[in-house]
Order: sequence, then structure tokens, then C-alpha cells
Amino acid sequence: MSTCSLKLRRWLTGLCLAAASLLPLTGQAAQKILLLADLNSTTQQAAARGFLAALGQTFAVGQTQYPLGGGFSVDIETDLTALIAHSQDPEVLALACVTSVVCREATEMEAAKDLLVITLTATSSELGFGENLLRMAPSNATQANAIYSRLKSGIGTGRFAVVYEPDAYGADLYENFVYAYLGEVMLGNDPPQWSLSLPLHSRLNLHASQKDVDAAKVLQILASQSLDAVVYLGNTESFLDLTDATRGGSTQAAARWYAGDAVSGLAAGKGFPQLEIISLFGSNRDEPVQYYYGYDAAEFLVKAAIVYLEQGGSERINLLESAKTVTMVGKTGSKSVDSADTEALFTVLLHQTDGTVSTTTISGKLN
Amino acid sequence: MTSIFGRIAAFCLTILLLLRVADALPPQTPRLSLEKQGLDISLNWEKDSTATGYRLYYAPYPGMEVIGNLDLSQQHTFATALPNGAAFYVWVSAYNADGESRYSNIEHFVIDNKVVAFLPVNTNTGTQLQAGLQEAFADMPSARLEVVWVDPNDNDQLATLFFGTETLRGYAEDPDVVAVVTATTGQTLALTKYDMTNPLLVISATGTSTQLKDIDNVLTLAPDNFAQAELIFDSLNDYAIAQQKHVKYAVLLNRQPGSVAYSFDAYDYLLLHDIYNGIAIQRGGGITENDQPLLYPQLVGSFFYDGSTTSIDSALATLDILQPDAVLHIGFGSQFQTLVEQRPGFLWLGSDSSYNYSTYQGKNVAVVSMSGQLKDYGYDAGGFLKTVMDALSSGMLDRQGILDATRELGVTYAGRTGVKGFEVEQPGSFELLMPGEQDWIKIK
Repeated sequence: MSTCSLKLRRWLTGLCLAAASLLPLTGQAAQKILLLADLNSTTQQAAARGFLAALGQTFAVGQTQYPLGGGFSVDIETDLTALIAHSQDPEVLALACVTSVVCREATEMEAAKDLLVITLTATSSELGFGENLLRMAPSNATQANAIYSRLKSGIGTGRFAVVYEPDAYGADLYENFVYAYLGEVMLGNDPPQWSLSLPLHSRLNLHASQKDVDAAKVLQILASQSLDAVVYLGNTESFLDLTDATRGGSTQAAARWYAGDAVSGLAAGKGFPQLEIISLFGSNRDEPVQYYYGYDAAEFLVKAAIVYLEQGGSERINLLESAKTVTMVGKTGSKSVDSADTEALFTVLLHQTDGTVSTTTISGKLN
Repeated sequence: MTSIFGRIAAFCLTILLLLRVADALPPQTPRLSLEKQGLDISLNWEKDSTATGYRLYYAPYPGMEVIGNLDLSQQHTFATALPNGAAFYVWVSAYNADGESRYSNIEHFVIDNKVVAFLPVNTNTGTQLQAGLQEAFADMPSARLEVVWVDPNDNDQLATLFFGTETLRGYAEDPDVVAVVTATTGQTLALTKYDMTNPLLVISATGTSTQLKDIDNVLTLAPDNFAQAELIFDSLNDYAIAQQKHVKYAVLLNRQPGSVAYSFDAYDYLLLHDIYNGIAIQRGGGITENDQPLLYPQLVGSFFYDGSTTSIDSALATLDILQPDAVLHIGFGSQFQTLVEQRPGFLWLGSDSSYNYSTYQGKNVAVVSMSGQLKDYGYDAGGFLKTVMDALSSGMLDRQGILDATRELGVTYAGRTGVKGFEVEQPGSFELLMPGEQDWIKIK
């Protein structure tokens, strides 16, 4: 048995053997699966760990190349500006990315329409489906729907405010939340009373000189309202600016708080009267949920690669076509090129006053 | 005792007499049926073998002042197209050489094709649209105009009026109502919230919500909120460049029932423009080629009020905290006036509505308005309907025919405010106005 098959538990033997026979045809020395992630956050690292684990590899900080044998490798690119160069590299068979901004750029490149692009945890509704995109995570449209559903069942026709982060993720999720609310209005239903919404930063998330964090002003305005709930749409750090007493924040603006999937890893006992985090499905497991989305992405890739090799694929367009034939039920739901998860399931983390966390599941399926 | 011959003779005589009597009778009484289709009337009755002809009688309905008749000879059907407004009793008789039958059952019909305009009461929009509609309907042979004034903030009441209740017949159930005209997005949504077995064309004269384009019996005459949001965001961008600073703007949104669907739709599109602009700026790092920060408008807060004094005061108090450079109001113009009067120090921008120039003269205000006169959107509603009706034969001039012609024949009408038609992407445009010394001045 070759060293290739011994090393790769997940990367199948047949793949290695077939790949070895393929190399002379393509005349290429190696073929890469490129993972584009700056690895600056624990969530990005978790996604990378899961991605590599599904391929039988162990993530190590600082290591950027993981040979899979048979002339294949997974390369991690932390310089996100190198996207264009990589997409035009014929050795790159598929590209995996983590964030919405990078993934959007990857799928918008006309020159790389033959390249399979896999988004691990990007949720932007602008990414869409089809063409050359395989998204693992449900869109912000379904997430906003799920958040709105929880809010409505929680406060009925009570008053609420929204605080959001005006970056690519938060603004997109906020816009989708507005759309979900508009849908309720269009149906003539009696929705919760929306009082106000505020970006947590009055500047876009640009370089430091243009940042203008003003959580105190946001809290002052929230406190002036008689609110039943606050919905927060942004990342964990900013959420803590708003709510962590040690940073000058407060959780007392409303009896109920709701947050989107980018809030995670909160320590118990932050003083929330009640907090619901609408998280990506599977958020109540041992590893961060990004790990499982990364894992599913690589597992899907393996299944696509098997088809690719069985059909004698020799170019990356063949891998893309192969991916379109694969449907898989992974750790985070059903996956196909047409759908991240047909049921659009989310795990709701219910943080109670006593610091305990319970979970429930909700669908954000669009009607 | 009568002989057998005598009895035979008597029998034959009886038969002959009976036959003689039968020959002397006029035909049987005919049974009349009436059908109305558009402007066409058709009358039918069964043919009688003993009749040599039929006579149609008619008299004005309901007065029956004068009775006229037509000899139809041996015709046992009668069909004709009549002008809108025609109303008659009709009945027929059959005749032969021995006389005329008794009259058939008497039927009556009223050809009353009408277009119902549900207009917001006590508003400039309502008054202007009515004036335009009346002008267009002055030359409309196929239908008349009926204006129904409704509370713009009570669309539930409008829905009840239109769809009816168990005890009240709604306009939707009246087959003579061949089309309706609405003003606002909320009104249009109220009239389309339930499926109808016999749907009719709803012309939204001034509704700008993009959601209306997804409703398959709605024709919009106004430009949509996508175009409006683009104009607003571009204007704020121009202002940032002119002021050489980041322009912090806030949104004040009216979520009263009559306004909420329009307001959130416009707001959603403004956000999309804001987000795309933000993403583009972030990609470039927020700086120019000369390493200077890019200037752009920034949304610093959005406040939703329900029209109550409390909610308005609360929203204005939060604006006082934020101190934005500009405030965009999305909702009715009547509320805008109140807000401007309470905070004259802000730079106010009003979304598309009806604004009275003299109210804002000398104030720190700019408003979005649909291009052209408001009255002309009413005129174009009538103009479009006339174009459709002119394209149809008299028998097709009912709600089904008008809706089909609008949707499937792709009828277009070059109106005063732009080209109108089911397939027309943008049936008009917006402009940004500010009060000058004599009138509004277009600034974008």
C-alpha cells in the first residue's frame, strides 16, 4: 500500500491512485485545494481545523501547506489580496474561503468561473447559489427570518430596537432583517413595534483612523426607550463593547436580547436578563460550529473528487461539474450546489439569567 | 237513439271545430333570456312553430316612460352593442295571422361599466388624482368614473369596503366594476390581499413600492423605490462631497398602517444602496489614491414612529442626541410638515409624497417628487384604461377583458408622466426639489 493511502484516512485511496495516473495527462506537477483564510480569529482557525480534519490532516499554526499525496495538497493562503493570482493558477483545483467579503470577490471573478468555490461559514445573501459556488452555511436571508421568528414569539407586539455592525456581515444581515419585517407587513400581520435601529459604529469598518466606536451613545439612546427587546446583528467583540459591564456596556436596556450567529463564546454570567443567540446549526457541540462547516466542506470535496476521477476529469471545470452531481447530509445539514441546507436550520442558544445555556432548533426557511 | 252514423258525424264535427279553434290562436308566450357581456346585450327565446314573427319591446329602465318596439320578423335572437350607461326593460312577443302572444317575462339590464378610484380623503394627492381622472374620463365612452374617498390610514376599512362582508356587498363582487385605481402602496396591497375568483385590474397611480410589481393584477404608473433610493443616496453622496465631510444622516420612518409597506420598502432599498457603497469603500480601504479618507454618507440611526405625539417626541429626542447632518423622512408629507416645524435646525429630506411649496419656503428642506404633475398620474390612469378599452371589442369590455389586455396583449400608453404598461420597467422618474423664491427648484 502506498504512503499516500496510509496517510490519508479521508482522502480515499482511489483518489490518490487515479490522481497519480492523471498527472502525466495534465502535465502538472501538483494540484492544490486552496483555503483562503487569514486565521486571525478562533472561528477562522476552527474552520481550517475542521476542513483539514476531514482530509486526515492536523491543523498547525504557521503551517500553510498540507500534502495529501498523489500530487495533491491543501494550501492555506492568509494573504487575502492574493485571491486573483490564485484563481488564475491552473494548479488550483478548488478554492475554499471563510468570510463573505472574500467569497463574494471569488465568485464575482469572471476569469475563474470554472473554479469550484466553497464558502465555509459565509452567510451573505449576496453570494447566492449555483454557477461555481458551493455554500456550506445558510444565507443571511434565512438567518434574519429565524431571528425575526424568535423575536416575534418572544415579545409579540412589544417594542424592540436593533443594533447592528455596519460591515459586510452585519449590514447584510440587517438589511435581510428589514426585508423579513417588510414581509410581515405585506401580509398585513401585526408585527412587533420597531422603535429604532442604530449602527454600533458610526463609521464603516475601515482602518483605525476612521473607526468611531460609540457604544455609550447607543446605550444612552436605548435607555431612553421603553424596550421589550434588543436585537444585535454583529460580531462578538462589538457585542461585548455594548453589553459587557467591564467595558462600560450594559445589558439592562431590555428584558430580552437576540443576537445573530457571529456572536459566540460568551462567558456565562454576563448579566443578560435573557439572551437568545440564533447560531449556525450545530452550535451546541464540543467544537466551535465553524469546525463542522469546514469539515463538511472538505467531505463534500472528497465526494466531488471521487466523481471527478471516476469520470476521468482532467481540468478544474470537470471538478466543478462533478460537484454539481453530489448531494450529502453532513454534520451541519444537507448540502448540494443548489442549497446549503434545504431546511435552513439554526440552533438557538438560550442564555438564562443563572448562566445556564439551553438549546432549541428553529428553521429560517423562506416561504 | 242516435245512429252510429250520427255519432261519427258528431265526432268529426267536434274535431273540425277543435281544429278550427286551434288555428285561431296566437302563438304560445315566449320565454326570454338575457345575457350581458361587456357592452354587448344578447336576447334569446325559443322558436315557436306556430309563430310567423317576433316583436321586441323596450322601455327605459327604471322609469319605463316610453315603450318602443322592433319587429324582428322570424329572428328568435337579438344581439347588439350599446353605449355605456344604457339601461332598458326588454320583453318579446310572438305573432301569427291570428294575433300576438302574451308578453314574455320582462327582463332589464343596466350597462354600467365603472372604474372605481379609491382615493385618500383630505389629501392633496387625492384631490389631484381625482382632477386628472376626471379630465381623462370626460372622453371615455366605455366606462364611467366613481370616486370613493377613504382614510389613508385605515386600509382594513378599505379591504372590507372592497371585499365586502356577510351582510355588505363589496365592490369586488360587482361585475360592473371593471377596474380600480388606487393612490398609495398600502391601498393597493389592501385590495390585493385576498385571491379573487374574477380578478380585476388594479392601477396604482402613485404607489412606489417594488412589491407591487410582483402582484399580477397590478399596474404601477409611478417609478419605484429602487429608483427613489438611488436618487436619495446619490444626493447624500453629492452633499458629502460638496461639504467635504462624512455626512451623518438619520432616517425617520412612518410606520402607520397606511404608510408602513411603502416606508419599509423604500428604507430597504436605501439600505441596499448604503451597503453596496460601504462594501465598495471597504474594498478600497476607505482612502483615495492620494491617501485621503473617502467622503461618503453614513447612516447613523433609523427611527420608526407611529404618528402619535409620544412616538414623534421620542424619535426627535433621539435625533437630538445623535445630531445628524441630515434627516431623511420616509412617510406621508403631512407628517413631514410637523417634524420640520419641531426641529427647523436640521437639514430635512422628504421622501416622495405630496408637498405644498409655500409650507417649506425658506426652510432647510429638500424633497423627492415624482417627475411631472401629480394630477397627470391620475390622467394617465384614465388614459391607459382608454387605450386598453379602445383595443377591445365591445363584448370584451369587462374586467376579464381589460385585465387580459393589460397583461397579455402588452398594451402600452405614452402618458403625460411616461410610458405606462405591464412590461414597462420604470414608468416614470423622480427628482429632488428644494423650495426657491417662487416655486420648487429641481436640484437633481
